[in-house]
Amino acid sequence: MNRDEIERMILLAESGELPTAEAKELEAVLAADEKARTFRADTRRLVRDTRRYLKAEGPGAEVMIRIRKEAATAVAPRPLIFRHPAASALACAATLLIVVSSWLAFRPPTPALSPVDQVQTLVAMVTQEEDLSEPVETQSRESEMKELARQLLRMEGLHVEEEETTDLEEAFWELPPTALQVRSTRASLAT
Amino acid sequence: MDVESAETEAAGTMETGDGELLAQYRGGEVSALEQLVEKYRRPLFAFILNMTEGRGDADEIFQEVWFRAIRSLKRYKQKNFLGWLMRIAHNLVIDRARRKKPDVSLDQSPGDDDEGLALINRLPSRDAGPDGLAEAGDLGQVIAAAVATLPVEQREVFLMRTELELPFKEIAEIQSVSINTALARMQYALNKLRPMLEEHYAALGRS
Repeated sequence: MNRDEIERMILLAESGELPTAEAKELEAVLAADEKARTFRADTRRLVRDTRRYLKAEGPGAEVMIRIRKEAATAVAPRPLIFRHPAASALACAATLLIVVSSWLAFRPPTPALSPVDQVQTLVAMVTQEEDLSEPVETQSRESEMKELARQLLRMEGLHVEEEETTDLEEAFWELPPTALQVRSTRASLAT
Repeated sequence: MDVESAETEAAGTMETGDGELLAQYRGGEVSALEQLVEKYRRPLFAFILNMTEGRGDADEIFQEVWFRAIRSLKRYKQKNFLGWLMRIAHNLVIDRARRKKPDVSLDQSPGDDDEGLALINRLPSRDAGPDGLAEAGDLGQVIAAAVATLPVEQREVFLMRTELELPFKEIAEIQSVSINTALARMQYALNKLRPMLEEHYAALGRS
């Protein structure tokens, strides 16, 4: 063990941080090493005298007053209601409720089309296209109507297969006339 | 070893007291924090005073340490309140030293710089007891002047160990160094101070 190691062990022993096993080892070193004993004695004397004589009066009175003021401000008691453990949770819930209610109350109205309205719209569009386009043959009109029927049934959630075209057509004509408003078209097809 | 055990036990009791006082303060009792300020007033101020250049600086840093501690108490979760205070004080002292002398390394020894010697004007308190006030005053001034010549890091370790009785493990954490480095700094400090004070002790005829 060299001089540095011995002195550092002495310092650790003086601060109470030296493990017991090493403390025993140090005791053996101290018993045999006068320099080590002198270092320990000088250290103890210096530490003792520093604690004893190197003292300061303390900070000024104004500093202490400012610290007390800061301490009082930082821990100023809040109103009783805010000290309840559930207060913050309730406050959050209330805020959320207000935000959601406001959104529901003032959101722009979104038109919700019923299936019947959707069919009416579709038929109206087809009719409009009819008016704007050139006259078509009955056969092509019939195929158009089949396609229209296929689309309508697809909108109703039914799958349309190619071989079911006839059934689809029948199903289409079974739809309520008020919903379709295609009586005139049907009449024209009949002719 | 009995003395060491007793000191450790006393420190543990002290810490429990700190925790209780902090809890009381958090509960709204301002007087609890005032007790803490009073408890650490002298050693903390002595440390700061011997690490700075004058009483004005020391007052300012002491106040700032407590302001920061008060404002950060919600985040405080450590067990050692004094260690936490010392960490704040250490940062403020180092910041102040860098601001005043940004081109000087903190490891640099004051050497022939007269900054440290100005500390000789700081008078220690006169509670020397029966040995004689004049004698105690002399020794206090000699120690203050000798300590002031130490490099900042060594002086800090020496004061933390002697004034605040912090363990080396805590000192190492505050300085962000290994415990061996903290021990080496204390060792260097003691080996510089011993010959400086030897003559004085010889003149006093003290052991």
